[in-house]
Amino acid sequence: MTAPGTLEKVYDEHGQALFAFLLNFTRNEADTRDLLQELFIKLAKSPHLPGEVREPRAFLLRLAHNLAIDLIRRRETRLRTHERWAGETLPLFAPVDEPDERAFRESISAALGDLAPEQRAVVHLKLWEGLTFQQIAELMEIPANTAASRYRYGIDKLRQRLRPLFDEIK
Amino acid sequence: MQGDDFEEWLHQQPLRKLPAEWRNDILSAANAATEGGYAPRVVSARRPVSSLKAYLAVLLWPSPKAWVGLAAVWVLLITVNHTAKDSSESIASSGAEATSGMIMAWKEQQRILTELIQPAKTASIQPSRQPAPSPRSERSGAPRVVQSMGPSYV
Repeated sequence: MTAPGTLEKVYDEHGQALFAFLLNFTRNEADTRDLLQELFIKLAKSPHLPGEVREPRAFLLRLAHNLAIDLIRRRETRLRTHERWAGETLPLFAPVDEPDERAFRESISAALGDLAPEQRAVVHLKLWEGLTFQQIAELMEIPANTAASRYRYGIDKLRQRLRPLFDEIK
Repeated sequence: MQGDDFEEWLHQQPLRKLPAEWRNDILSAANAATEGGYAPRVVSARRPVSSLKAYLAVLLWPSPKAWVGLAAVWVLLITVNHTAKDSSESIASSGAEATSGMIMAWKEQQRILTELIQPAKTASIQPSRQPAPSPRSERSGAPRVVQSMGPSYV
């Protein structure tokens, strides 16, 4: 069981990163909320706190990834979670009033949705968490080369899809 | 298009903020789980039907086909049991009506059988013409010699 105030501290320090990762991975707000709650319940019951590990952010992201994978496996046969998650469009990025900027962000969000979940996870961890391929590999329990190739393929797909938009901005 | 520029451009896109109202719900659920071992579910945006689907999916996750098969076997067993119960009840009810008649018929058969057997019994009681064997000491004649069968086998 955790000491009083520890969970709050972990939530305030890492909640945003966990939320963004889970939202990008699941592409479903209700699932993101459920998983985030499940993660904190797990932390509350666990005697090992993220503060005790060397890289608490990576530890928490790994936990979040595992919980999301478990959720996919639980629903795999009946609900086709991969397809359902990928097909959902939701705002991944901060809302903005300016129409063009809003359209750009929606396009990026949609393009990310077309990636496979594992590819999307690697892209997210590399781009928005700034993790190295070695860290991503440890987090996702895959070889570092696989992490690197998933990132490269993912970025190539995004680049093809978003090329007109990117050229317009530049 | 430069790869680095593109990645930098993506990186600069601000991600959506974590909804502030989630904090209390999630943390209180986590704290409640440690206190009582029970975690109340945060009310999510899902509709009841999808929540039920998700619950069933979780429940049946390990092998949904096996669960369906088991359910089918149960339905079959219940159907067979129900059918067998109906037929046994009908046999029992019809049997009760026929019981008195059957007893009468059986008694009649017993009586006829007794009459048929009676003369045979009296006939078998008649004394035998062969005299009863006398004691060994009173028997006459030479004692019988038991022949050995040995030589014929040599």
